[in-house]
Amino acid sequence: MSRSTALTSGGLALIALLGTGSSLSYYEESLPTTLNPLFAASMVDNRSLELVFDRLWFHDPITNDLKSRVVEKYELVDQGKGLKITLRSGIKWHNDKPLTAKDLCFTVDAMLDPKTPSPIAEGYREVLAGCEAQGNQVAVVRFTRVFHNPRERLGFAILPQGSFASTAIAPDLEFSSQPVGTGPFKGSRGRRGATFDAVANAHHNPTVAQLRLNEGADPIVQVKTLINNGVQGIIAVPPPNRPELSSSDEVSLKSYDLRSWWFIAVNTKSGPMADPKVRQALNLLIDRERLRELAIGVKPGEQNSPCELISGPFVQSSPYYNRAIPVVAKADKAKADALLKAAGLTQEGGSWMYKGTKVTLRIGLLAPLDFEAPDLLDQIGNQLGAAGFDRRTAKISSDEWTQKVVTGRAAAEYDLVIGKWSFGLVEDVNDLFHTRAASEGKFNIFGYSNAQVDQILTEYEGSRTDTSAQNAYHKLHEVLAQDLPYLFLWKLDTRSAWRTEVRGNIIAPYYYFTEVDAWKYGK
Amino acid sequence: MMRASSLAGLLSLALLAACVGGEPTAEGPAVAAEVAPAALLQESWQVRMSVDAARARFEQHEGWSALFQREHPTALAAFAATPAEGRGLARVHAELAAIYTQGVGMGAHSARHVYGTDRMPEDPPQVDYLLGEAAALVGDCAGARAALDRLSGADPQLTAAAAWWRARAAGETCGGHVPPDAPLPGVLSTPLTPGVDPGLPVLPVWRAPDAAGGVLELAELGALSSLAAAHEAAARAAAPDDGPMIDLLLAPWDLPGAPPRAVSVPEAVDDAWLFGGFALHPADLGFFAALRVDGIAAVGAWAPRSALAATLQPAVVDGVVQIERVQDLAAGLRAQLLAQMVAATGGVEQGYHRPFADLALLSVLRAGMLAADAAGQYRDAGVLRVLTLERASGPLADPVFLVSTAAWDAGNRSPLRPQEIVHAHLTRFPALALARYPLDALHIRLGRTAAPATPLH
Repeated sequence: MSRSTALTSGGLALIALLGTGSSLSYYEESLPTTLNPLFAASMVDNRSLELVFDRLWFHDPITNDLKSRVVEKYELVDQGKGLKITLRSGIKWHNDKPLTAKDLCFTVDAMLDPKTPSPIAEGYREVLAGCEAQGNQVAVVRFTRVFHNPRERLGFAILPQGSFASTAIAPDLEFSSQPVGTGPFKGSRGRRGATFDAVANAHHNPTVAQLRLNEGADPIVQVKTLINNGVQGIIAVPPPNRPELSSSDEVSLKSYDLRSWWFIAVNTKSGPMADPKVRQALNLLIDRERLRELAIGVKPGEQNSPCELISGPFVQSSPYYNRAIPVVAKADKAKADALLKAAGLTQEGGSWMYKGTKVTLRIGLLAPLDFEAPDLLDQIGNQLGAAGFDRRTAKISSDEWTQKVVTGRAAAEYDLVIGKWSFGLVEDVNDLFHTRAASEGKFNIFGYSNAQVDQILTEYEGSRTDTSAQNAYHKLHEVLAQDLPYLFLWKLDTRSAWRTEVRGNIIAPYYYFTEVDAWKYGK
Repeated sequence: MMRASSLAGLLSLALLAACVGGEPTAEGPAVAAEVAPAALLQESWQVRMSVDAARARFEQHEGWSALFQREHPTALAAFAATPAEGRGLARVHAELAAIYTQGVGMGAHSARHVYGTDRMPEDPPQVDYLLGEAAALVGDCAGARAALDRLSGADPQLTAAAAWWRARAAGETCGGHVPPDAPLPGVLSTPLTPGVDPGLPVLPVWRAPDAAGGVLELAELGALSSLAAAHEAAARAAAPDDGPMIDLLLAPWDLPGAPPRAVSVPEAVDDAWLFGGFALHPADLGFFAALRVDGIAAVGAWAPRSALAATLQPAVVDGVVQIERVQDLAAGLRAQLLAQMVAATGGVEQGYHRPFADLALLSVLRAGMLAADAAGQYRDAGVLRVLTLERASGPLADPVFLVSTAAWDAGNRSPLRPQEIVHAHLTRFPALALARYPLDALHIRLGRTAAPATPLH
C-alpha cells in the first residue's frame, strides 16, 4: 500500500507522526505576524500562509497557468456576473472536517462583512457581491459587475466556517496563531518560531514532513548555520553574504521574484519636517551610494547591482516608474544647507536649530531589515548626524511595525522610519500616500496629506485605460519626488539559499511555497 | 597595444577565476563517475583549452575576454579593431541577432496577449495593426490576416504598413526577419558597419488616441526584427565561409514560422564558434538543431557523436525526459569534465577549470530543456529553464538565453521577470526598449485585472 493511500484512507494524518519524510529548517526574515490570511501584513506572513491555506485559484509558478487545487469545475452564470464553482470532494481541513461550499461562502461573507477589519477583504469588497451554497460542493460566487477573466479575481485563501463564531473576523483570535487550513502543512506560531507539519490530503501530498521557521539572526550566523547543515535554507540572503554561498557546492542560491523597494518615511507633521524644503534637504543629505556600499556591499560603479537606486514608489523596471525623475545618488550638502536655511532653520555650533531648539530626529528601522542591510540604521543616523542633526535611533519589531507604524499610530514616536514595501503583479500604492479617510490611506504611515496627490490617486483609481493609469502614476512619482513624504532609497533583489539536498524546490514568485508539495529533502 | 590586450584578457580570466574561488590547487577533484564517454569530452573545447597554447588565442584578445564575460558591446568593438578575428566579430553579431530576435518574440507574445486574449473595449482599433504584425512575426499568418483585416481608423502611413504585413501574411508562411526594404518606420535599410550595433536611434512607435483621451503608443516591432536581420547579415559578412556555423548557432533562437535553415555540422570547426559557449563540441550544435526537427528521438540518434546527447540519454525513459535525472547528470558531467581538465593539466586544478565546468553544467540543463520541449513536456522544460536561470551570473549569464526566457515568460502572460531582464540588459542592448512597450502594457493590464492585493512589508 502506498503511503498516500495509507494516509488518506483513514482520514488526515500528519506525515511526521508516521516517522516518514524529513524535517527542514529555515531562516525567515522574522516571525509571521499572523497566520490568518485576512490580516497578512508582511512577506513572512504571505509565505507562511502559502503553506497552510489553499487559494481558490493561483498561478503556476513555471507556466503561469491559472490553476486551482480545490475546484473541480466551474461555469459562468448570470451573464458573467457569477461563477458556479464545484469543489473537489474529499478535501479535509486540518481538523479533519470536510471542505464544503459553505466554507467558501463563509469566506466570501466574512470578507464582505464590514466588521471584518481586513485591508485585504476591503479590496475584495469591490469585486465580490455575495455567495450562495448549493449543496455540499457547489457554490455560486457573485461579482459586483462583469469582469474580464473573473477567476483571476478569486485569489483569496479559503477559511473554515467552523473555526469562527461569525463572519466578523478579528485579527486577534486564536486562529491567527493556530490556524486551520486545507494547505499542505498545518501551521503553529510560537514565540520563537513557527512549525508547519505536513498533512496528506486529497489534493496535497507533501514529501517533507515538517518545516521549521526560525526567526532571522545575524547574517553571518545564518550562513554558517546553513553551511553546517544546522538549517537547510535562508529565505533572504543579504548581498554581501551571497559570494560565500555561491562558491559552496553544498548550497544553491535561488532567485525569488518579488518587487521590493526601501524607503525612509518622513513625518510630515513633525516640527520642521512639515516644510517640504526640509524634506528636500534631508533627501539631499542622504548619500545613497555610500549607504548601499556600507550596508549592502555594493561597490562603486558596480554593474547590474542587486541594489538599484530609485526616485519614486516603484522599481525601475516597472512601467509605473517615471524615468524622467533622476535618482539622488550622492549627497549635496551645500544645496541642502541652503534649503534648510530657506525653511528658517539656523545652525549653531554645527547643529541645526528650529525655533530655538536643537533638531533631534527620532529614527526607527523595521528590525528585520537590519539582517538584509546591516548597520543601515546607524549609517543613516551618521549621515544625518554629520549634517548637523541630533538623532535617536530604535529598531521596530515586525509586530510593532504592523500594529503601530503601518496603522499610522507611531507619529508621536518617530520623525523618520526606514522600511520596505513588497509587491507582486499589483503595484497599487494608493494606500501608502492617500490622505487617511474611511477606506483610503490604510498604510499611510505618518498621516501624509496632499490634495494634489489625492487627486492623482483618484485619477489612477478611476482610469479607464492602461495609458491613463500609467500616466497617473508617472505624475504621482513626479509629485512625490518633490513633496517627499518618503525619501526613496532603492530596490533590492531577494535571493534565497537552500542546501543542495533539498530537491525540487521551485520558488514561486511572491508566494514562495506554492509548489512545496514537490520539495524533497535527502540525497 | 597587443600587449595591453593580452594583459586585459589574462586579467579578466584571472579575475573570473578569483570570483569562483578557483586558485590553482595541487589537489584535483575526486575521481568522477563517467556520465558521458570520456573520448567525447576530450574533444570538448573545455578540455582542449586546458592546454595553454590552445587557450592563448582567446586569453590574449580583449574581444574574447569580453565575450566570455557576456559584454557584447566591448567584444564587438575589440573584434572590429582586429580584422584577423573575423569569426569573433561574426559570433558577436550572430549573438546580437539572436538577442534581438528573442526581443521581437517577447514583444510579439506580449502584444498578442494584451491586445488579443486580454483585449478591452477601450483599446483603439489601431491595436489590430500591432496584433496582426505580432502574429506574423511568430508565424501565425491566419491570425495576422484576421487582425489586419479588422484594422480600421488607421492613417495613411499605418494603412500602408498594414498592407505590407497583409501581403506578407497572404501565404502559408510569414515568419522570419523583416527585410531592409520593408516600408515600416525604423527599419534598417542599409547594412551595418562591421563592429557596430547601431540599435534603434529613435524607437519607432505608432500613436493612437485612446478612449480616455490619452495617446496609446504601439511599438513597431518590425524595426527590431530588421535590426536582428542586419546583425545576422553582418555576421555572414564577417565570416563569409562560415555560413553553416552561423545557421547552426542561430537555429535554436529562430521564432516560429521562420524559414527553416539548412543545418549541417561542418567537418572542421574553428574554436571561435565554441569558446565560452554552451556547445561542448560542434556535434552538440547539430544536436540542438536536430531536437527541433526530429524531436526527442534526436537524443538517441546523436548520443554517439554529441557529448550533451550522450549525457542526457539515461534521463530519457520511454520518450519522457526525467528532469531530476537531468539535474544529476548535469552535476555529474560538470564533475567529470573538471576531472578531465585537471588530468589534462597534470593533475593541478587551474583557476579557469571551474568556470569552464560550470558552463558545461548549464549546457546540460539547457539541452535538457530543449529535449523536454521536443518531448512535449512544456512545464518540465520550464523547470529546467528556471534552474538554468538561477545560475545565471557572471559568464553564466548568457544574454541570449536570458532574453529568450523573457520571451518565454511573455508567452506565458507573465511580465514581471521579463521586465527585470530587459531592464538589466538595456545598457548593453538599448534597442530592446522597443519590445518593452507591449510588455509594459501587458503588465499594467494584468495588474489592473488581478485579484486585489495590498502592499506588504
